[in-house]
Amino acid sequence: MKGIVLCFISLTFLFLLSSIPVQAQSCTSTVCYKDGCGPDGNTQYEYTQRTCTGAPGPLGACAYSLQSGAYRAYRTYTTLNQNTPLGWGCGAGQCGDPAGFGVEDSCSGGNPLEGGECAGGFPRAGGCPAGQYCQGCDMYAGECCNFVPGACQVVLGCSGGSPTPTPTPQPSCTLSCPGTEVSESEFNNATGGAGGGLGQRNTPSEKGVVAGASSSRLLAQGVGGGLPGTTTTQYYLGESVLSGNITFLGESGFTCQEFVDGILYQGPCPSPTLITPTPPGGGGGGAIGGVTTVRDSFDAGSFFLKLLSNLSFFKPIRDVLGLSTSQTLVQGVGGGEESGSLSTWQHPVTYEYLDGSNTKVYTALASSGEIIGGIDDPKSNSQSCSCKVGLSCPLSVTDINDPGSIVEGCDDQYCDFSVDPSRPQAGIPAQFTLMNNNGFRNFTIDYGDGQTESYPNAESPLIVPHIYANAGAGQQISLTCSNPGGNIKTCVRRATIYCDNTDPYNLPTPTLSPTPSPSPSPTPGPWLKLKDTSFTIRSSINNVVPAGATQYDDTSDTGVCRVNEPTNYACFSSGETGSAIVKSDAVDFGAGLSQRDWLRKDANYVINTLLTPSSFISYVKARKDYATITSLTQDQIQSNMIHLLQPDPPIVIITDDTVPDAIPAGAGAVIIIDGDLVIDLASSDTFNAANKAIAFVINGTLEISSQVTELNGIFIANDVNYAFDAAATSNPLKINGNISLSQSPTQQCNDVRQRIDPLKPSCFFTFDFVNQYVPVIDLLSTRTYDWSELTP
Amino acid sequence: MKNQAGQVLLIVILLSTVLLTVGLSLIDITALDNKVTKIQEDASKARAAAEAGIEAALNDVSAESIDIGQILADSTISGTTTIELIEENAFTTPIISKDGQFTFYLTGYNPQTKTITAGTVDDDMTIERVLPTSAGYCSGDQAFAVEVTFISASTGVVGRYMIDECPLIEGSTDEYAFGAIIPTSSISPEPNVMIMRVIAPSNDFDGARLRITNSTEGAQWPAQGRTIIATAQAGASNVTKKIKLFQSFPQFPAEFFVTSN
Repeated sequence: MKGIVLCFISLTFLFLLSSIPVQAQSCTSTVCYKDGCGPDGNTQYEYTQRTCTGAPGPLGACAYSLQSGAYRAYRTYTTLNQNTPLGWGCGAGQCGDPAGFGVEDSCSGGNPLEGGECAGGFPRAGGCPAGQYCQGCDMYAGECCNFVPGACQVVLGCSGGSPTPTPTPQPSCTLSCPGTEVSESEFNNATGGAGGGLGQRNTPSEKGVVAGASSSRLLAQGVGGGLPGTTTTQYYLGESVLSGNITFLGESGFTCQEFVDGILYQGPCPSPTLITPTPPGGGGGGAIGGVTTVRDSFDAGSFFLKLLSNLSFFKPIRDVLGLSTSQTLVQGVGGGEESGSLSTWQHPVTYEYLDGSNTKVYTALASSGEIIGGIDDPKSNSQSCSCKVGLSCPLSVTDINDPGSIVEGCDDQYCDFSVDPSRPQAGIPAQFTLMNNNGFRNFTIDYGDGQTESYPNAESPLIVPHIYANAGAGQQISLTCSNPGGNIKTCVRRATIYCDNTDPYNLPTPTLSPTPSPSPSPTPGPWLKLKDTSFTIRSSINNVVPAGATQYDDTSDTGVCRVNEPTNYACFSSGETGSAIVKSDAVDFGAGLSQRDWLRKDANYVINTLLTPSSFISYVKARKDYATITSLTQDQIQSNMIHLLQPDPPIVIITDDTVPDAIPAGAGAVIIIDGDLVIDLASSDTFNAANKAIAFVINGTLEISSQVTELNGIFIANDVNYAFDAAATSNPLKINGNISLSQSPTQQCNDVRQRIDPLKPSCFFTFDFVNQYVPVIDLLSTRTYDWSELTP
Repeated sequence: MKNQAGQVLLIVILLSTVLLTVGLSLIDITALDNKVTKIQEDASKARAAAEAGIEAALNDVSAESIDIGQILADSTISGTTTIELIEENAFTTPIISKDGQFTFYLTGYNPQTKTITAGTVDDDMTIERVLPTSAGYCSGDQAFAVEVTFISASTGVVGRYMIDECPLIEGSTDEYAFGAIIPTSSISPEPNVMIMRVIAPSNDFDGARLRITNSTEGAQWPAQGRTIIATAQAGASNVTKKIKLFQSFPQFPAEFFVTSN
């Protein structure tokens, strides 16, 4: 008796609550529920509790959950986003099919997302026959608790508290991609900015996918039967490369038959691993009591999953549900069980290519049926789940020409290539220099983007252009070199194609040290690098080596900066480096000086110059055989000879390789110029490309054109101008041989040579003893004498 | 009267004796002077002839011996210049100035072909300080360090060491002390040339001499230059002059060798 009284009080209380609309707009025709508050196209009601206890409205009426726990009733087609807040499909004052939902969404289209005549449980164009409905009221406790998806039907028992036939748990699935899980709006905001993003991809049916997704399906499970398993989509974001597993979770016997990973794979789903039968859910039908939460049900499942496979399903599923951990979703209203099985599998995947601008969206999909027209085809199947991955532009610093990019082979004696720029940009031509030797003259290059070119019997080096349409990381560029004998050499390098390579380096912004040092952090800028040499400078030097520095090039910048760190290029002096003597008490070489770090920084150190170009002229005249010449023409240059040129006016201009061309291979020559030497090449950026042994002793200034990027030889001068025709240039400068000045320099190389890429040295001086010094050892040298008289 | 005459005669005799003595002495002195002058003249001739022999040797890198009388076309002068390539167990450098360097040929240098001699060296070696001599050289202007560079003629720089006892240079990697064993066998590829550069902060540094000793028993260093000895005789006095000149093999000046921006 007491229980009856309590029940009566409870029912009365609930009745009173349910009759209070939170928000009521104009309701021109009521087609709703017992409470008389049905939507008629542009009217919506929100209820604080489940109050719609009467029979469902004849058409379109339904209710979905708000996160607040209240419910909102609205008409068909309105759900663009089941994640709250709910949206309206109808515009103000409109009735009928909402804008944007055209013929495709009609009931008759067999739309897997809409469920045939009764799309998503609601009638579409044409509607249902008289007396039939496709509406379910599953979430209205005690009312209209039955639902049969996909067909018009006579509304089944929706009388209050009447148990309904046991529903069959609907198969469903969840697909999780690698990356950071985000909401759809976050995903769209993050990826839709450039190139259209998802905004263009969302066909109405896709919206339907989202609309009919998670909540309805999972709510249906929660109430013991629920809506048909349509498609659910989860969203993930990553950077330029995203590796991991696509994880599948099938529930209630979902049979996964088709799978695409969004890249290459499309075929049968991987073999599932049966996890465990799901615990019973639902609730025992009927009355308001018997509270069972979906969350509780899934907790159990997640627990097993975590134990068995270390997968994190609980949170994604809960997020899809839009639940907080304390939220009770439904009461057991329809009876039945949530039973079936859970299965899972994983598919390893790496997403790494972009679509040429800023983003790339991949969609993976698992379905129970045939994927007819691809993952974007709404007719493909009726039950599926998918996940979307959005990538952003590469920011990491990867240089194709670095040795570290080599995946296979790449021996310049047989088969190798380089790329300029070494960080190609999508949409911008890149120059590929294909190199081989020893008769491997047939080139075939696979650019890694699906394009392949062949160049039979080609000269080496062969320069070919290529444009990458897509940015991304991880392209493997493969060059195959073969000779007539059928021998094959292969060079494979891994490349990153950038969206924008003008500032891909992500260098940390220099900041002032807050405490206590007043001096600012050194500012990375153009910098000079040495190899295999000792260094002196008669002034201070500003040469901050940036962290993460890369090679000047991959052919000559091969010396180590640190022992056992062959790919660390961040140092001022590499290889078999000697000491550095700097006339300054404070010098900062940034990321590193050298592997030995021999340094004398001393503002009082005066470099003792025993032999200047001028005194060498005197020495030669006194002690050496030499030839006096009047110009640097081929007929005046002799091999293995010292040449003395005293021009009037005291300036000589070199425009080509006439001088080195006059020197036979293996021989050498010394050119003494009593004046300035100007190197201003007419048709090349490299002086002495053949690397003949030639030493210039310049009793004046060495003037170098800004267009010259490489000098081969030994250059001894009083002073040097590294770009006489420009205040500064982005052209780098490499001197292979040596350069040495007899006085404090007017400028330093990196003052005027300022490469765009701050990670690469702007100037690179290498000490080439073998090719440059050995052939002129007798010419570019002095003797010491020790005299004594044995008999007085 | 007779007594007076006798006295006069005696005086005359004495005076005559004195005068004769003085005269004869003068004659003898003159003759000796003439002889000394002749010897000195011959000595000068001999020295000049020896120097000419040295010069001739300097201008003839292939000569092993030179007949000085022949090159001077003077029958009163004779002599010979010999040129030797002396191998030693220990070699002492000339004085190396501040910021100067000395090129030491580990496998030798061929003055005829003007090339570095091919070969290998794997002997242990020491580098000792000969000059400055003071044990406390680090405390004053004579403080210095030596950068040792090993170079292969076929592959370039193959190793570097720093002798920095004072110390003057930051960094302690690959450091040795004077007199410590430096195993060239640990340097790969094997070097052909060793260059010792003197680093001295003070402008009053007087220079350094270094002794490079081959620590392997019985091993010798190849010649580091040509030892030219010229011996010449001139004139009837047959005065002999002997001059020795050591001419090093090519030395790369540090100003042409060290990168300077």
